[in-house]
Amino acid sequence: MSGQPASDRAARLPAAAAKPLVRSAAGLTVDAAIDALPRLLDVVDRVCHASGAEADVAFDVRLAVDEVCSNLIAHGYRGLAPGPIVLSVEAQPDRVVVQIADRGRRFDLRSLPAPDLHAPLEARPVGGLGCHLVRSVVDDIDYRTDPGGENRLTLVRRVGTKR
Amino acid sequence: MELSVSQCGDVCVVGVRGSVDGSTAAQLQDTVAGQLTGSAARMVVDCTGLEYTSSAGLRALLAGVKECRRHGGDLRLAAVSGGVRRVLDLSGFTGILRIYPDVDSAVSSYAG
Repeated sequence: MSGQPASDRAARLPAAAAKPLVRSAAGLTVDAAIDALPRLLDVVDRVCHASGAEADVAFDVRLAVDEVCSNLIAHGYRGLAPGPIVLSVEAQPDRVVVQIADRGRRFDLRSLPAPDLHAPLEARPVGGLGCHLVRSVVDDIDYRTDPGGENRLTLVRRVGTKR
Repeated sequence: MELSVSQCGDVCVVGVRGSVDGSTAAQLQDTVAGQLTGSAARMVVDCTGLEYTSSAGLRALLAGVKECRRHGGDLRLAAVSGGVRRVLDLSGFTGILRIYPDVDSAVSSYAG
């Protein structure tokens, strides 16, 4: 994993004693449609619950998967034949690792500029915050496209980091 | 996600419980927009039971507050906690939305 730092990542401080997670994993493949989103998020919730993850870790992983998959559903296959979203979630003792694969349009969420968080209300676009939130709540982001056209996003949320 | 709508004087209170994500946010946005009739541009969104929101929920709130202010009113939040508060902070929404510790103080804030 490249481990490229997110440009707008919040400050993280090591926690004194993070409880290790219980190893747990699950996955799901769905067609990229909005009615599949609850099932994808249910996979995240189940793995985080089984691993004993703290509420803030579970919240962050759910938020990251929600934002990425919602974006894929809305934009990933625009102009293309509908395709799959392949989600896998794995809890390891010190982290939760998410992989999301698709065969749609290439989109590296690290490429978007950070939004202006101090703009007045009137100047706020209704949208554009999802990628910023993903970059804010995970520790590592890796994105690769293979020659066969599969895009694979890997997100890592470590435990024992405070935001 | 569960929604409820009640009236406190001339303030409309929309209660949101559970999770707001990409599959439910449109319902929240429609409910807020549906209350915007005549003098009902003073709104409070009660987040007491709101456990989770993604940016889709923020978009619904942003659309709602813009519309309320365009009608001379406002949309104010009450009882925001935990992860939802953090999402608002990370998005810079705590600088543009008025947030109160509970529904009573949010409703009475319109009296001043």
